[in-house]
Amino acid sequence: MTQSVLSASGARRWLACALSARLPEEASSPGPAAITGTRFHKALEGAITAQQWVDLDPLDEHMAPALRATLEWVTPQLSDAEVLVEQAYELKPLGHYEQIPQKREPQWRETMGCSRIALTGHREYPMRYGCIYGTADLVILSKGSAHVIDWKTGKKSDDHEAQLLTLALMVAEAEKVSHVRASAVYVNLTNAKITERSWLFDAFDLHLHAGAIVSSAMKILVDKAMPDANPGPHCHFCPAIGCPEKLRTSR
Amino acid sequence: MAKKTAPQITTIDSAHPNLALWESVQATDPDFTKGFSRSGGFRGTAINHTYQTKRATQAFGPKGIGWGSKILDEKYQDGAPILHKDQVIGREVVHVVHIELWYFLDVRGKDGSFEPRRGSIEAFGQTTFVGTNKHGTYTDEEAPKKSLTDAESKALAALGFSSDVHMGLFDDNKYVNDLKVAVAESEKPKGPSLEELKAKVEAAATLDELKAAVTAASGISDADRAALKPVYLARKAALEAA
Repeated sequence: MTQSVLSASGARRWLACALSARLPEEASSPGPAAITGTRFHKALEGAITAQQWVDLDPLDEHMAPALRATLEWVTPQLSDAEVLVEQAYELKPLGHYEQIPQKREPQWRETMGCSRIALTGHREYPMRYGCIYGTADLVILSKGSAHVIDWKTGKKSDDHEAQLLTLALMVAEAEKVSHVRASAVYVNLTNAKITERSWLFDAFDLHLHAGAIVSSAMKILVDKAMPDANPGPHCHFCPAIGCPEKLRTSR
Repeated sequence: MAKKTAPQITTIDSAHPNLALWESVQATDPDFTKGFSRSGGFRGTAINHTYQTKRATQAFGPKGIGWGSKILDEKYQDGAPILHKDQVIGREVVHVVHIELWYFLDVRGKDGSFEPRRGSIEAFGQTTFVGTNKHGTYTDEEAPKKSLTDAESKALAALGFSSDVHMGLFDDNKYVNDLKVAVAESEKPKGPSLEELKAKVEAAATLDELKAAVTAASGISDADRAALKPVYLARKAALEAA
């Protein structure tokens, strides 16, 4: 059992149901699909950062076609841009929703394909109470605009829009851009097919989303009264323990 | 069979003016009901009387001013025989009350203006005062009070109050679930109106104020969002130009 963390990937759930973020969560270990997804992310991260094909672990050879297809898809978009790989963001929603100065500075280096690229790597500082966390798989900064990309090796889900919108808000605040293009890029590891689902979030969308985050954060972090459960499609895979709605439906 | 749906609240100016009061009070909050069963397999739904009183107060005004009830008659009436070892040793006693429930309602006159009109309903209420249960005979000293509650509930039901329960809709789980959702929606705090949001956006003197005005609009409907966005863009352009 662990205390819940406000994450961009879980945004749809905790925005819809504050109770789910107040309750402790079941500790779970990743399944085979999640492990494969993580290995794909890692291999892709290495290839994008190196801007060239990298030797794959023998265990990952089966995903080589999908990896090549993804690199072919993304490489043209990296030209003449600053690229952040695996950039971790932290957003403090209460008081103000500014990016707090905790972002690890990227270690830029020049490359052939794009202006400069940085693998920021994984978070090294502890998670802090009252903050929202998100890691963008890829952020492409070019001419005052930003494109945030999240690689998906699983099924399409309505959760992804809320996740990408939350990441877009983090990117807009941290990189000082007014609008952000966000893409969930679905990579089929079996047939190497790439499908992109994109949204363009302008300042209006981002401000509205920031307001929704602040409103939910008040219920999750400040209100003394426990919020009511708000059942809906977001209950699928909800890890909260002791949810009255879950108990009711399980009877 | 017609699909049962949660009733909509309508106003006195609704398309069915004769049903205006009925339709405004017919839906019952499931939180104020309780299932009960009686001997013989009868099952029903009891409605909290204080909740009913509050609904009537909402419709007519405070009890005693906008509405009330007057006892026209009450009596203790003999009921079924009480047996002991096959011998009749007495009779059950039922308390019966006959009331007039009165109320004032604004009714539209021929000239279109509203004027208060007094209406009244007569109803009976009854409770077993002396009866038998598995422990033997008993006396319920609260019978008169319960009879009055029963009579008022019956009179209010004749005006449409909680008619969903009396029409058997509470036997339909889907209807009750829809009602719970509708009650939860109606209890949600209402945010500022679209006009208020537009005014706030138009009044923003700086880009920071504009951002704050939009942030405060979170939770608006998609339609309001679409209506607010052009106002935001126009104000943003004006502020940037300035």
